[in-house]
Amino acid sequence: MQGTPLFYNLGQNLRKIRVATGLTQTNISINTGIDQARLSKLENGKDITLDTSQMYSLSQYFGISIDNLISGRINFNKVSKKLGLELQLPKNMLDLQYSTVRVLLPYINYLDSTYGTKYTDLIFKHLKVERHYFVDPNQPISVHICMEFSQFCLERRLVDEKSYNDFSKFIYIKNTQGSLFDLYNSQTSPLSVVNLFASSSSKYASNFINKIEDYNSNQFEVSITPNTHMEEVKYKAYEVPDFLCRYLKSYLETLVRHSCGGMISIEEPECHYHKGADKCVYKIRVA
Amino acid sequence: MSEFIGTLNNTVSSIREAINIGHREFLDVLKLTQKDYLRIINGLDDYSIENIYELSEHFDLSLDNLVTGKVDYRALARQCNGDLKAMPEKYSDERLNFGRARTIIGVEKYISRVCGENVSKMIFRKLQVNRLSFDDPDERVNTHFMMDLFKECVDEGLDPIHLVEMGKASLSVNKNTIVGKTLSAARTPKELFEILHGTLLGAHYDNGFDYKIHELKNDSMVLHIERLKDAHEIMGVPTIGNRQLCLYKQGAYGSFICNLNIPYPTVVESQCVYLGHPKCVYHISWDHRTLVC
Repeated sequence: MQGTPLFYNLGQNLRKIRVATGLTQTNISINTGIDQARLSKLENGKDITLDTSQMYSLSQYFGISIDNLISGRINFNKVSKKLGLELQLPKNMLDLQYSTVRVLLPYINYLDSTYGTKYTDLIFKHLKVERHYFVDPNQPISVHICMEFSQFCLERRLVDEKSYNDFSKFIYIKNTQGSLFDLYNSQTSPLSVVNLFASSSSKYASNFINKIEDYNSNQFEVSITPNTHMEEVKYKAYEVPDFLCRYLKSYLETLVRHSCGGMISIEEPECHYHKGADKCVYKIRVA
Repeated sequence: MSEFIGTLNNTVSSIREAINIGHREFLDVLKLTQKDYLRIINGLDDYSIENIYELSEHFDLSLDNLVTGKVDYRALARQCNGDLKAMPEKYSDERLNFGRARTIIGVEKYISRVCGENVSKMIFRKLQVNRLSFDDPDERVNTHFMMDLFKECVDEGLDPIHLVEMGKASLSVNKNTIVGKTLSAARTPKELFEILHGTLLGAHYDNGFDYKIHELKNDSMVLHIERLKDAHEIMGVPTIGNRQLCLYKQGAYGSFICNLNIPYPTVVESQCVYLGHPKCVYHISWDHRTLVC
């Protein structure tokens, strides 16, 4: 039979798991008893079907439900733990896994839309990471990936000061925020948005501690303090922390602006990167 | 024939018997020809995952439950006959109906909104409960079902932040109910909590716990939640509910004050029965200042 949408999805999901965990089709074949040629055809969407026991073997082997294997809601961390495999990242990318994919997604989307996906793929290739890894916003990633990604783009002038405005287009979208998107949408005031941003800081990066310092009727003060492990991150160029600082500001500004229809102003009286303070402090005023 | 195939064949046959459907109609659901079907029941072939997928979609059953034979046939038969509220046997002991449907309604709405309807469908299918059959927030709900629902939410990647947010979202479920209307009429937070604990909690919330105001001030309160001995003796377990349910409660309790258009308060949990403490203790503080809207 010709590959149906059901098996096309399954094949694509199987490939994603393989790439993320570094498994070969032969590994899967040995452990599930499914012929390797059959797995190959399945991944390529060609003329194949699976019987139920084979499907069950796959789900047992990966440690995820059949429903999830078909729908594509795959927790790659869970799968790699079940298989006792590291997710496929270069060794230097496995240290300091304090960031999440959510932080980089606006960046990736901006590059995709500005230069095309092929160019972004070249960046991934340069960093020796797979694009599949950057899908689930909650996926933990190394601080190094964020830094090296920024450095690569800055050095090649792929991003500059004008890019911040364009980034913001990709911050407040479902693709970036994932399950947090509707949470943001359901907030009724800028303060509750900032509160959510602060209370869910681990969803972005535990590199920083976000805190509401003070608020009154039309303005509030938010601090972003680098965590101690950030001391271990050595920036190769001044441009990177500078960029990171502006990026954080832009991220916060975008989230708040969406909650109040756009009329806000933001000041940064203290800055860790530019003014040598312990933390960055943002004063947000809502018109 | 392997044990797996045997179980699957039995499951498919049992479904057909339970719903009392004609042979030809059943083959149409499975998208099988008579010839292919005969090959399967004679052990010459297996069901394709596509056949089982069709069965799953048609009868609103989880693929995983189908292939492992975890189907409650009696509940399925009743659901197919139009009784959408039919629950599997394991959730049918009415003595354990300590919960209320307002929790289920809120959780379902939250999952649909945040993760998408497909995920909500998948979670409720796994429990073999119709996700849209809960309409009356005051309807009693089996506690085991509620516990399993929260466990499934966690399996689907909803973490503690989401569980608290689910609780907060219960504000909208209560909005047009007697709970929301009564609480909105209170003049102060203090009055709101006195009304809540006076009549509303007992009449409209779960009966497995005793909610006690330990301290109530103009801008804060301390709440103690203790297990009711009778309830957990009936359940046959030392604690009713689970940690996930507790996180939900935290969010839900905090949201009561929002009926007065006060922003969500600060809720600090200092003790939790599921973390080994004798009771759950919440310190709740709120602010009267007008906020940006």
